[in-house]
Amino acid sequence: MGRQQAGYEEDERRWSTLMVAAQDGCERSYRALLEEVSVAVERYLLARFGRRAFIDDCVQDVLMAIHEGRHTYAPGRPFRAWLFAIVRHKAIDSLRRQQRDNRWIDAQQSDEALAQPAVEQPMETSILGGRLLQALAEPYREAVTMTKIMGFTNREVASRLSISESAVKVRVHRGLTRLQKMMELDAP
Amino acid sequence: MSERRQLIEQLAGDLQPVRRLPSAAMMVAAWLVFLAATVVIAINLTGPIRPGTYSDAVTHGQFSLELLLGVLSIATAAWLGVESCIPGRSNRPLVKVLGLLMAAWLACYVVGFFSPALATGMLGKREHCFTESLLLGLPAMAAGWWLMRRLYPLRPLRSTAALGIAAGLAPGLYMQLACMYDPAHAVLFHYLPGLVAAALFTVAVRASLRRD
Repeated sequence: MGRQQAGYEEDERRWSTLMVAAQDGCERSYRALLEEVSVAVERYLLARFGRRAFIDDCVQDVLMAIHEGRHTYAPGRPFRAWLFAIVRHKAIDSLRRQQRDNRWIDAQQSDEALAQPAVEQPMETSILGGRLLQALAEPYREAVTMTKIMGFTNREVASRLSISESAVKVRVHRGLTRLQKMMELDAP
Repeated sequence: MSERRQLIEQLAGDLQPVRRLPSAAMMVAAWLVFLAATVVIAINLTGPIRPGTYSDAVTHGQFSLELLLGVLSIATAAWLGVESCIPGRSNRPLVKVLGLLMAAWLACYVVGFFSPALATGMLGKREHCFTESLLLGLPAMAAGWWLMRRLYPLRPLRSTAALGIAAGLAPGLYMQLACMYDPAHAVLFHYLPGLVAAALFTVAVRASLRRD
């Protein structure tokens, strides 16, 4: 525990120093920072959501957000708090976008591809993995996993769970809000 | 080369030095000074203020408390608005403090319906207090939007609503000194238009964010 804490503190100091140098325009420090941070963010997301398709996109979104918002980091303030506020926001944002992206991909598929039988992933396999998703109450976990991760439409989820479409929307909204709160409480 | 690696190379290649932000306290103070200056100057230019109002503000405890809670609520809303535009700042305590201050401020007016802080009357009535209360927060709202765009709000609607409430309620608060005193008149003609302006500001920012 003490060793982990020491590692956190060392990362904190190093990342803060690299970021201050990056704010002054040091390309090498910035590259080193982005490389280290991308690994840390990926580990953080994998631990909380399991291996998901959106994680790589989310890490890239975080890197772009760091680039756009780098002027808002104040030297001397905790770098982790600044970084993981962005990560939490981008993770939830990526989850929200999932269904939209899946629908767009579906729309691009040809009729021929659609005619082929869909390979369905067993629900249990999709829900397992990622302690944050596991910590969600079952109704919310089902709704979030099926819509945002497996890519079902609200109507499909409603029919599978035998509930109304609006109930699915409410569960997804509440599930994402709870995930956001859990991530805030779970800040590294 | 993986996509992520390419992105890192591209971002590092695009790197330019950036100017660090002034402290949040400095930004809040500057925005509040701008807000106070626009409201006070505009109200004083558009008509006389109620006679004896400044002495009332210091000699009547209940009225002083109303004003003090108003000033603290507006300052806290402004603080929340700016802090929430900077990643990693904890806003929860500020949200709670703002809620408590606003509740206490509102309670002053509820008490005022039964036991007004000052003698109610038409003394100092301004013809266009509703319109002034509606419009005079707009320059500060525009300045708030400009400030938000320079920062990095992760929850832009929260930031917009907080800055909108601060800017919207400030003219109403100064109207308590400038216009006639009556709690019901204050709520309907001084504060309500400011809240409407804040709501419209939030809707406009939301629409603009969706378009972006």
